[in-house]
Amino acid sequence: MTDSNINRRTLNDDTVLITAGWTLDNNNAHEMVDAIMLAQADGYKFIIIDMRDLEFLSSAGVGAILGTVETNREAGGDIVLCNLSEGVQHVLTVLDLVDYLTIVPNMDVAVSRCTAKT
Amino acid sequence: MHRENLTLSDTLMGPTLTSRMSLPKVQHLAERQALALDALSKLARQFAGNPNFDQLVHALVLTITGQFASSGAFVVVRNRSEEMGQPLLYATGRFVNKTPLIALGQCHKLTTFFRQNIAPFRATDLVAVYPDNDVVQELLSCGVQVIAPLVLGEKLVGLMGIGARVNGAEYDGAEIEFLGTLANSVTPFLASSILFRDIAGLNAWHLEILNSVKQGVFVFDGERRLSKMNDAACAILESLGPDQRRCTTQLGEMIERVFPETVFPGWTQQIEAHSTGRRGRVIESLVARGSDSERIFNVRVGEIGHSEAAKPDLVVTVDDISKQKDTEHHLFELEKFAEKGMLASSIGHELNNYLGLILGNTEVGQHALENANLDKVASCLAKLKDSVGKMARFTAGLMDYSRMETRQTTADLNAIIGDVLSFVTVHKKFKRITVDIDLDPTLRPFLMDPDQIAQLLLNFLNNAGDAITEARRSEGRITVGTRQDGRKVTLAVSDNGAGIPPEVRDVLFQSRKTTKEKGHGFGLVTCGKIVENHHGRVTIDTEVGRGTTFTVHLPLGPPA
Repeated sequence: MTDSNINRRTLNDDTVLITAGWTLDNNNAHEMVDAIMLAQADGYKFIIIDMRDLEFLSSAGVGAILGTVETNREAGGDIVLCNLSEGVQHVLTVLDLVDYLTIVPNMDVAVSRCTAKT
Repeated sequence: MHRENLTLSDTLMGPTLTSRMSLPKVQHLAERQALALDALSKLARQFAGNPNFDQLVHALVLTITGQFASSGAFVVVRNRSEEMGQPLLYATGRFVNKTPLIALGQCHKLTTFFRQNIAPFRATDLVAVYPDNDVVQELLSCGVQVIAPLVLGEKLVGLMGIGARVNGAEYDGAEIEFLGTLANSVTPFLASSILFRDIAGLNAWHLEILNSVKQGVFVFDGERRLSKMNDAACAILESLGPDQRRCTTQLGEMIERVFPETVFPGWTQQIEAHSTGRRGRVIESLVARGSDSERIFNVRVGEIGHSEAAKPDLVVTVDDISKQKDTEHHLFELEKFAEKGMLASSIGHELNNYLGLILGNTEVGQHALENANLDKVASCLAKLKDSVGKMARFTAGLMDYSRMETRQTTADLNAIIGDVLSFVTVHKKFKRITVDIDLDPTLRPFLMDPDQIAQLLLNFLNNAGDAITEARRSEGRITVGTRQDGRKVTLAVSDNGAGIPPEVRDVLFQSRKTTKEKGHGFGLVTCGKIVENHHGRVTIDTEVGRGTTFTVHLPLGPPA
């Protein structure tokens, strides 16, 4: 836990859930990086980022995910994004990242996606 | 290759949106650039408002990473030096901890190139210019795709770079130009942030120095507002009672509020009165009244930052000497205690003197008896009686050093000298010593304690005899003289003995010092007390190997 807006919960031995706050930008992108890197250091191959509350995603927030995702993938895992709002989805589309990042509609799909890859 | 001074808006609305692009791509590019504009404007506000260097540069790198959908991005900036010096690396993705990027900032040949070619360029272009440069080769191996120098005026502030796009697509010309525009926009903020960081670093360094000083240091500006203080200063303020606020709230306060009269009486006025010149002046023993104790401080006041335009700053260094004062008080008490111990020895020493007199008169009396000289026997017995009486008075009067009072009566000093010499000189110590007398015949009787004066003379004579014995003189000589000069009388005892070393002479009447091989060093302590009782003083003229003269200066009557 690095910030009250970014929460972490363990789902199983391989998977951890990080919940984003309502915004992910210059102010707190580094906190997201810290949360992801801490989970990686704790040995979680899969990180699900629940974006149900996220209303605004800046390029710094995108950078937080892009700058860390390769570490999970190299370990045979991934960072899975779920519950994206239309605005957040649009940002990732504009940046041409929807095919690169693993984006799923909801938590259940996210968990099953992680389980399937385990 | 110099880039035009484009603004971000120019780039967004101008040449990057070309007719060669498809409509969705143009829309996406515009939106991406709008996203970048939003991110950068927020970043700029953050840089301007709160230049937390590390956090902001990291946010910048994350922004570039996201904005260019890159596998990683980096910013290398100089670290507190005019040139790149030891650069700092801020990176994401594949560039985290890539030391070759730091080497990039240190390579003099390349930094010169960056200064002269400030437009962003592909890493492969750098290879074309420097094909054999190791740093450049390592850059390629790290996966650096595009580099944008961060240049402000003539100075290279740092470098910004991005790795390959995550979707594998090449960066096109518009995107590289866009990276240049980003670099152009953030460089002034980055430079000012570096400046702030350097100033903050210097401030921290200065504060660290201040905090290493055990004295409290307060710095007041020209208006006498507290601008800085060290940990010791905080501790002083906080320790002086519950009324003192926490030190962090003291910054910016006027001097009279930092040192309120209730706790620091008279401090502000004293400090102002002593605040002239850089060298600093010390105000000794200022008292501060805490809620439960009183403490004493030495305060040094000095000015810094003299200029014609502004009143100089004031540096107030506060040294708590309460413990030192306590220690001094304890030492004083210990000295008093030791003095009483010395007194006991001194009494024994003096009793020995009287015993010597008794022994001397007994020997003389025996000799007189053997010769049937009854008059002499009677005289000796009278002197014995007198000596025993003096001993009794001595023991009664000197049992307690603090009760060593004089019994003043009018007496003839010359007569006392004759009396003392009459039985001292018969002692075997003086058998090979010539005692000369040089008495002032005009000296009239004056107010004194004759017993104490006799004791004083006895001590001086004994010391003189011992000094002559120590010097192994074949012809010892002692001179006792008196002089009257107006209302003052002097009694001088000179010898041609061993003399007294200078380091002993200065403390002879204050502590246990002796030049004798078997001496106690207490006789002169008593002499000092006797002279003090008579409101006189003693001077010593001595030379090692040649002898000593003790001169007692006495007033003819008690002081007015």
